[in-house]
Amino acid sequence: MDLRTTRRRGFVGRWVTLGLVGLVTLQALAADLKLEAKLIWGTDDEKSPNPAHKPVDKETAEKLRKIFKWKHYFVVNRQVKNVPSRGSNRFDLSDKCTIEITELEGPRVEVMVIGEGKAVNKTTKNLSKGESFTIGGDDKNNSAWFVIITELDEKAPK
Amino acid sequence: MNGELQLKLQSWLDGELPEREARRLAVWVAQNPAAQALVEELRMTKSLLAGNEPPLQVPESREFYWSKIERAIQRSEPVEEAREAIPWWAAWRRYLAPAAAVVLVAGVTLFTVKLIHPSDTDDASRFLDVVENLSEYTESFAFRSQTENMFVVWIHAKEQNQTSEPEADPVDDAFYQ
Repeated sequence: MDLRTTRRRGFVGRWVTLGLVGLVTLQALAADLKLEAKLIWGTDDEKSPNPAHKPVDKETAEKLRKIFKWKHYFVVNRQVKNVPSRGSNRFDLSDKCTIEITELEGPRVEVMVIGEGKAVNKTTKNLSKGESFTIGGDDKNNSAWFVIITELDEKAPK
Repeated sequence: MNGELQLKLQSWLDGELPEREARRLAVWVAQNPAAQALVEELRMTKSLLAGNEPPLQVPESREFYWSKIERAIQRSEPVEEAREAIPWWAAWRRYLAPAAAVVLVAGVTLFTVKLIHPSDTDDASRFLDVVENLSEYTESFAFRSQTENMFVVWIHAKEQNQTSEPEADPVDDAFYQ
């Protein structure tokens, strides 16, 4: 085998390796969906009775105020998790509120709201980046709860 | 005298025949004048060649000539060793091209199958948002705020029928706690 043939084979080998690595990387990137789920309490009270509840960021608060009637919004819990391709993951946001998210073909997600262990609602929709998917409901004392689901760009720790 | 016999005479002169055959051939030559003439001619040619063959002189000395051959042999040996020393992962590189081809064909096949048979799901339903109530105590509605880029599903307690028995409402307690 002459030197030119060896070099050519090495060149082709490197490109093929690069191609395979690229394919594997694309597959890995397509595999998981990184989602953030925030449980938020909406109220007209200026302070939350639970000091651990911090006010939501300004941008989210503005968004919520423009749509809903409540004046103040507090983050009760925040979780960031990966949802595997064609798989599910549970976000236990409080003792009573759990959501289970399943990644479907599309990409679509199926979000199941579980209240006190019982399935309450199931929503299936396309998830697009930048869009906030909010599930909410009335709560006691003229307050409300919200779960905001957003897709994040980076990969979440498993 | 045929050619075979002539060659045999040549061999006899060169001393290449077995002893017994050489004796028989000597007796036959002694009785055959044509053979004697040929033998004489061959002997003369042989003596002429032996005395007048020009010597072939190698430009280098004998030692230097053989050392060149030795060095050439030594140069070729590391190539063989280097070839044997190729690590296993490098040897596997030869399979990368066919493997990549297989992956490519599989990918194209999957893509084609997906194009022809997208899925069991109807195309239109891929873009629909579906909200289902799973509890008999709740109702829900959905809306989208284009300005805030927010899709909202609102869950609220179902209004109880006055005639039905009052039942516990699961969303009556603080849901966020």
